[in-house]
Amino acid sequence: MSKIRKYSIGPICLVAASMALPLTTIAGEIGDIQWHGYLTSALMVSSDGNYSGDVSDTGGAKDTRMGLNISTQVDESLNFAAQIKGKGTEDFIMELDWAFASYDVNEAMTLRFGKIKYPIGMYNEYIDVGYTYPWIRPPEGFYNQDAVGPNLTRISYQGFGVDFRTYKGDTELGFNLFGGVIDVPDGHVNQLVGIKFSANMEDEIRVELSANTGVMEVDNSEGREFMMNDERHTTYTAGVIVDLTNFIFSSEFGQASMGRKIAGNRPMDMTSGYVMIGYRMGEYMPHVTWEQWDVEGGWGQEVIGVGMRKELTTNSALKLEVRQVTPETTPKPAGGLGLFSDVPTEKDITIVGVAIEMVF
Amino acid sequence: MKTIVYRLSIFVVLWMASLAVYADDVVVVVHPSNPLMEISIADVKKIYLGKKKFFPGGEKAIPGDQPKDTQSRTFFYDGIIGKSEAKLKIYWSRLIFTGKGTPPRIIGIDRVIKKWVANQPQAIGYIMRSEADNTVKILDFK
Repeated sequence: MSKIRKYSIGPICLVAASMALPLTTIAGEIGDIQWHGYLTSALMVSSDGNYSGDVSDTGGAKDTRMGLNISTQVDESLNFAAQIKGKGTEDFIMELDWAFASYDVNEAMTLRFGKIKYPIGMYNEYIDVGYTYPWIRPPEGFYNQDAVGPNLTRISYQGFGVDFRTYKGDTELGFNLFGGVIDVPDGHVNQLVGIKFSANMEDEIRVELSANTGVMEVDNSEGREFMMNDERHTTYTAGVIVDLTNFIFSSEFGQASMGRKIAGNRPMDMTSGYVMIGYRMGEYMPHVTWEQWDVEGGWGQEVIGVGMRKELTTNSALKLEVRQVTPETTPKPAGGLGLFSDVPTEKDITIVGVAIEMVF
Repeated sequence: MKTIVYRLSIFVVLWMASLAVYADDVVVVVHPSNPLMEISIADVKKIYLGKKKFFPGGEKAIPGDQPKDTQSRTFFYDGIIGKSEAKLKIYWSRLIFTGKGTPPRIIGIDRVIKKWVANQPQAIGYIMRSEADNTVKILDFK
């Protein structure tokens, strides 16, 4: 079903956007149309060929991606926005990333309807726009969507969102209520309901707390995945970003759980967290990240990474990254292989990457 | 001796000219019909960062921006908004690519902004004080 949308909606949006471009008027006026895009050109090499399926021991450009974004104001309160993207992991087929209408009830409340970027995880809504964060890949234990089993984050959902915001002094307080259906490989997460609370102090300190739940529906009637069918999937996350003039700190923690006990009566639960510290020195920002990911009934991993982000221009950056991944030493394949497509051949896996990111 | 005096006078003229430039400051301007007389820096920040779409009095606000590297823009974003160009780009990228907002459209340099504000009752812009005249209203900061 999702394949049909990939081939039809994306090009339609692109053509519609192209036709609309000459109609651009003054910003903020009804009918104003804005175009934007992002591009990531990345190369990553792993010392183990089984890691995450996207990073091979011979190198690969699977993280290379681009996206085009269009937004327009339909009337005083109604806005429409859509984004298409093409990724190396999906053979660069342009697909609809999200598209939704938003209605400003007043300055404190906005309603959204359509296919909406999944709002859980402080980087998740703009995770394809690498220019906006320090890493080539944000911490995978928290942000991966490849591992079979409970995930903390998803790509998007189809449904509604309600945003409330207010100010207490210089602090913006936000509350997001959302619900709908998530398309996942070989299935859906139905009856999705989630809430997110956020506090933003002048963009220097941002805090988020979230909780959501849904019921898995697995189309594949065979294999381990089917054991998750009809199971309730619940996640809780907490995160903070401190972004001062030079110093940047980011940390998130999340827990995801699945209702039924599988894999030898072990619950299919997972926890993941990370801490990143960086320091800007002019155009350069070195950073270090520690990450821990544990999956009950499966594999977990610990990751230490160092990287460097260099501003090339005000809309482009060069990134270098080295990470060492240490999987749990006791394999529990009945519960899954985590981010490995097969049993790793090494105790510690090294991943090296380089990327150029830009927005336009 | 003449050469020294000549060079010294050139230096003094340039120094005074530079003082004149830095003595100027950036001001926020609106259409003369706008009832506001003053505005808080917090409200200017919210309007220019897409967090507020209306003036404090309730009228629709349409912010106009200047191109990169103009003196007005540098003064405005460094001094009033408090964001460098790089941080500003990251800020807007986070909103644009989640469909939650778009940056103010770049209208032009001081002269163009002034003309645009003078013809647009809902407009808000920023220009150097030395460029302002009675075709626009300067808002004092609260």
